Amino acid sequence: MSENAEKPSDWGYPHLTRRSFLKTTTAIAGTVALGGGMTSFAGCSNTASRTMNNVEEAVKTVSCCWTCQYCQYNAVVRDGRIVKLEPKKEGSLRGSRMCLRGRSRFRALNNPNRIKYPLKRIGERGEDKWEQITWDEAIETIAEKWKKFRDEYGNRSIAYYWGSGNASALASGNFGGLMGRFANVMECTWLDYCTDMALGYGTSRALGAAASQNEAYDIKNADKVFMWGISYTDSWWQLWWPLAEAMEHGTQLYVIDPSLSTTASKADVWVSNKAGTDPIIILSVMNYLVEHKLYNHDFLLKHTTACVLVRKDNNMLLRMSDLGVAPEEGPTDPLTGKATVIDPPVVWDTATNEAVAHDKSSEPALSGDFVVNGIKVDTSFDRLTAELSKYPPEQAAKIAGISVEEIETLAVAQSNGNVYNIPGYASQAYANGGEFGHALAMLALLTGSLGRPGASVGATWWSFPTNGAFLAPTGTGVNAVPVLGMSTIMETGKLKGKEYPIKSLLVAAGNPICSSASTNDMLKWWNKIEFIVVIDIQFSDTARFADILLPATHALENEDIMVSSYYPYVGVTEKASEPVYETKSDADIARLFAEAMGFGKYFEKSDDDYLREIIDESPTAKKLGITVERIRKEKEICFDEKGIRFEGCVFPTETGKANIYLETVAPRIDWGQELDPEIGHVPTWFPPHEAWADSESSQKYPLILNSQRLRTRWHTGEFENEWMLEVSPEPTVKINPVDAEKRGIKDGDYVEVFNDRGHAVARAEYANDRHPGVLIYPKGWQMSQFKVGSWSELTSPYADPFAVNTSFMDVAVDVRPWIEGR
Amino acid sequence: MSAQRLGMVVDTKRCVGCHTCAVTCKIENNIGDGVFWNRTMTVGGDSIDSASGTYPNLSKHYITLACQHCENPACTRVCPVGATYKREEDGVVLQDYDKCIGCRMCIAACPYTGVRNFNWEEPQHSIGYDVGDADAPAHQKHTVEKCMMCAHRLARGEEPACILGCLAKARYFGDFNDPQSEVSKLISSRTYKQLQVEDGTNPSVYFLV
Amino acid sequence: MTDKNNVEKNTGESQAKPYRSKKQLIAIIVCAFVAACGIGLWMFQLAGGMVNTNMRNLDAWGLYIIMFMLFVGLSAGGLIVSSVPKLFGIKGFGGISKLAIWTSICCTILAVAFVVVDLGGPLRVWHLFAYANLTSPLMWDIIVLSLYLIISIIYLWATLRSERGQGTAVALRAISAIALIAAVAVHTVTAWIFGLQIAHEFWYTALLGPWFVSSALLSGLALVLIVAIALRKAGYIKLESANLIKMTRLLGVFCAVDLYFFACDLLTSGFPGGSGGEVVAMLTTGPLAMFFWAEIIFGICTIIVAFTPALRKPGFITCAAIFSVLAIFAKRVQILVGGFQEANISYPTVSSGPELSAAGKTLADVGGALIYTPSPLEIGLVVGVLGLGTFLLLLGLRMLPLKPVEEQ
Repeated sequence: MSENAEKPSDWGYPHLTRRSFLKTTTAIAGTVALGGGMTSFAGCSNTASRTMNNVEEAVKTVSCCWTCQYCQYNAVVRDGRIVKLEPKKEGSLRGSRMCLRGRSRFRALNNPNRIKYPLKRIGERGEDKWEQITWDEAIETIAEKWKKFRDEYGNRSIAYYWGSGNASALASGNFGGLMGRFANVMECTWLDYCTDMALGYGTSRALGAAASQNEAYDIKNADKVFMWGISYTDSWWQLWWPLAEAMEHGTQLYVIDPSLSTTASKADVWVSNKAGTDPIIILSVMNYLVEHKLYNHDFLLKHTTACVLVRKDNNMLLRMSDLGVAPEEGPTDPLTGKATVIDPPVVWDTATNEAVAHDKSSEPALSGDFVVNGIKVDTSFDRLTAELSKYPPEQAAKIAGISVEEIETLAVAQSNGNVYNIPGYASQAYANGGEFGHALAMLALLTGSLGRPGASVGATWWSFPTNGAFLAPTGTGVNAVPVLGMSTIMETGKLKGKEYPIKSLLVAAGNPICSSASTNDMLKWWNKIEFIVVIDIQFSDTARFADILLPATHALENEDIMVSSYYPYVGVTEKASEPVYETKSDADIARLFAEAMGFGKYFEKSDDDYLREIIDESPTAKKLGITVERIRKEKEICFDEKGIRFEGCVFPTETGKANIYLETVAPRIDWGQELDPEIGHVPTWFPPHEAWADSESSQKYPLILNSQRLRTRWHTGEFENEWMLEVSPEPTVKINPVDAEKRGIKDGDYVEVFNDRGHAVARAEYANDRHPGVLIYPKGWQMSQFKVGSWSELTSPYADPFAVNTSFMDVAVDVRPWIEGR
Repeated sequence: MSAQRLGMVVDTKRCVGCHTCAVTCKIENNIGDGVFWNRTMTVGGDSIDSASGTYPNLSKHYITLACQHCENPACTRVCPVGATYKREEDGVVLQDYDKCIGCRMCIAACPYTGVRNFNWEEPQHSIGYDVGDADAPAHQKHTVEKCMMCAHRLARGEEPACILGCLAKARYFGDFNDPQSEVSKLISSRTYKQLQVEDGTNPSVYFLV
Repeated sequence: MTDKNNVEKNTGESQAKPYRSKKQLIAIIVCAFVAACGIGLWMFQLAGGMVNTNMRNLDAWGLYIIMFMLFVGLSAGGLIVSSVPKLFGIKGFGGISKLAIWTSICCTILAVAFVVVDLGGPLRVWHLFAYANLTSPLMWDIIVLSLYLIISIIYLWATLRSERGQGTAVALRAISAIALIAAVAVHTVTAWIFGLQIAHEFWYTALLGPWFVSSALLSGLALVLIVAIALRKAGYIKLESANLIKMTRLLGVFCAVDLYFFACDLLTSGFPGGSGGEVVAMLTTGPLAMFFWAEIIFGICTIIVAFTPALRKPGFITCAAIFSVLAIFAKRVQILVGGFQEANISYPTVSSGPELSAAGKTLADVGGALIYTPSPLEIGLVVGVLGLGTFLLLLGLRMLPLKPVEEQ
């Protein structure tokens, strides 16, 4: 043991050396007002502070603003700068602790890549050459162009694209804030980002609304958890510890995932299926349940339209009007302004042996052929089972690349106890993604595994129901157009047969050039738009392709209210740092736009007042007594202690029951696409578009390209964060050694992944955690971070006509060693 | 009053290898660019997050690696000036930057590869200012540094930053000399492994398996 | 030129006097210049950061410590070669013991210089004395090395005194004994810096102490031979062939002993077929193979020259001596780099600490995935230190009466 001559000081360090806290740095040279002392932050009365070693520190409560979990935690501020983000000492409402991205996100505030001033493009789009202009000039230019376009081409000629980048009450993400309000007032075309939409679309066919998970902590009540193409440990990390704890108390985890994700490595059962085959597995599981009568008969009768009769002549539901009963008028639909029609669907009552309205029978027939008023009918359940009979385990297993035993295991496990079915966005990112959602919701209905503690179907999401009127003060709204349809629309200049000129695009809180599919295709229509304005904090891929670039404040530089999360909470994020250079908040930029466009009177109020309008004025807030002031004081408030989705199994459908058979199948967005009338009434199976051995693309490009979450990104966010780059330094692609050796690729070589749409060069990593034939790339890299190309060049612009969703995983490629200068 | 034996328990069943504890430590201690005192390691295949075995019989798990604050440290024996030393009252192995002459003998002696960092140049902070805790000691060029169990936080009665930082709640901290402490109870009730046990250093970090 | 001393021993030769020549003066100036450049590089290393070496967290020591080991060995060996005959009163190797001691002193100074150059905070060297931690083998080595330097200087002074007729033979023998013990201790303790570290399987062996001593004997004697033959060629000393051959045979014996230790260690590592096998592979076929086989081949050549009468000519002997020093250098490289080459914990993870520079990576590729190859700065600095050593050696020859005096 060493003898230390010195005695430790109070702090335990014998020679504690003070740092110089006021280092001047060249990185933020020229900054205005970033030094010294505590600033008073408007609207925040609860500034906690502490003094240590004569250093004044302020502690702010802040939240992440991204669509993972919106964790809330503390920002420690010293000399006006955030020095660390750390979990709240008093804990957070559901014990969330932020991840490494949340930890390190304050790096963005003074990152050299930050956009500091309004910029105007000089040179070609994408050349990344800019001239600094004033805000006045920027707004003038924008307003002038927009007014001209609106006069000549109509209000829809201005398009608005938002992403999930900065999502809170006042900010633009997820169609929020004053920018969303502005877009509605302007009657913009809204470019639906077609991302991760198939799941919600599919489940809503059955449930009337997108399925989502019970409040995260409820998972402890589940006996079995099934994860379909999702890895909590890589995407929604805050949901992992409740699941881990549940598993420690006996909950069993089944993971269905082509590759051994970290979650799969901890599962009790891992089923490794072929990419894009989740729907047929689920359909086969349902086949088994029906065959062996393991479905929940009572649930089907009470809470679903299983017994509702379907006409064999036109495949519509049999209704009371078919029995000669006149429909009634119902309450006015607030959205259409028209009266609703009440014409109840009909069931066959086995007690009286006649057809009655669906809510008038206590013993309806689940199955059977009947003739009612001369009309031949069978039940909705029959329609479902007819489809299911196509998927016996023996056949489904072969197609899915798994064993019959595995399907049987899954089926038996689904049939009893409290079951959680958690889908991810991977399985829905194929052309059959809508069917995946539809089938999974149907499975939950067959077994009755939803609507109560411990039983749930869906991915996590809770949104506080804000005051909808805030978004549409003039009663006008945007027109949704899928971003995947823009190729056609810009090419033809038409939408649904009518002229539809799009002359300008506004992008906020998003990075479509990186996050959307098929960059090269996208750039073709992008460059047909005359005038593009991008609002961003960093020089992302998309920012580089703007005509005018507007510098936004970072979420840490604004006060706001968080209205979405993985548990039902509404919380505050306090302003923790002063905006830098000439950045402006999304809300302020919207005000400038509105003023210049002549809509100033709808944007006159302060942030504070608008927050009250959004939160306090909402029915839920009024009912629960939630106000902005309370949120500011208490930091976070739970608005649904129980947090059970579809509680009581009441569904927002016509009948209040879940749809076993869907009469009218509407696409997610109708933009004039051709629709197969046979699809969508019940879930069905068809293979992925490209990522399938029989597909046309596969003949030329035999490998499937799947993405994976990069641990250091939320989508593309934090791409410029040096700490994150230390953890993940460069683009990589995982390749099975079998595929690699065939192509002369060694572990660590640089390889070129390519198909007809483009290419990307990345470093190859041998990985055997799935069967050969699949490449996996961690996603979120910007073009500037590749040697050549980028991942988004390779993805497919194909949109399933119903789901209208980007099939990110449904991609065929090949790979070869990279030779520089090829 | 008997001396404490402070240490950590990491539950590898819970650890998902997310690197959050590594980044937490890095920011808390204002560690220079390119350096980590605590790192997540994949126990599986040859690259990060890869599995061992032949598909589909695969397995992987994670450990985190930082100074093990050994009961019988190899480093404190060999430091010629006693710049690295074990604190008697709680067993934390500390590093005195002011004393360190930069001979790197401790790095040569420590069996735990990579837990010690020598500042081969002036520590850079690309963010341009000092981050982390106000009390974390300043780094010095040409000295050795490592995890110090956030002694600056211990002095305030707080746990090391990485403990609270773990979002899987897989990290535990406490006194192994106290049989009632959470960590003592964990290692007496669950199977665990330790690293480099054969080297006789008696580390104070346990991995529940 | 008259001698300072008028006292004559009963020899037929003149008293020892310093060696001076014009070529020597030029050499001294050149070496001083090289040493000065070395100091300049050292300043650059301190200011610009040791990141300009190729040492990194995964291999914290490099060429400096390799040279340190080599020079401790060279110095210890030289001194042992000189003190053993004196101690046992046997006829030495033609009276070159003073040269051997001076060479040894220069080597000791160089060894210390290499350690100082390797330190991150050389200005804090005084900490070693203010805060000495006595459980540290590095501390032991510094103490023993310091004492050894002092003893060497005293030994030289005593030898010179004895030549002038002052001091007793007993005193000289006593000092020889102390010098011998110090020489053995110095390299054993240096070995313990590595040999006591249980963290590195490759280093942790009881054999390392004796082995370093045998390497010291081999390399030290070889250096003395090189210097002696060179000075003989320059006409400064007379060295009888018999003595030369005696030393050469001894060289062969030392080499054989060293290789014997090597064989024991290899067999012990490889026999159980466990993790030691990786060590053997690393040496024989892996990244260190070049150094391993160089040592073996140089060693065998030395033995052949040593025991083949026909080959025991100055040219071959010089070659063999150079081979011996290079062989021990190769051994030092194996020990130092080999200890770090195989990490205890090598699970995939993020890297910590600076990566090799582009130049460093290229060098490493040349070395065949060696965890370390020296950077140009390190090589330059080593050359500078060698320049200092040569400067001191030549200066000593110029200023001190080191010429051998025939003994009775």
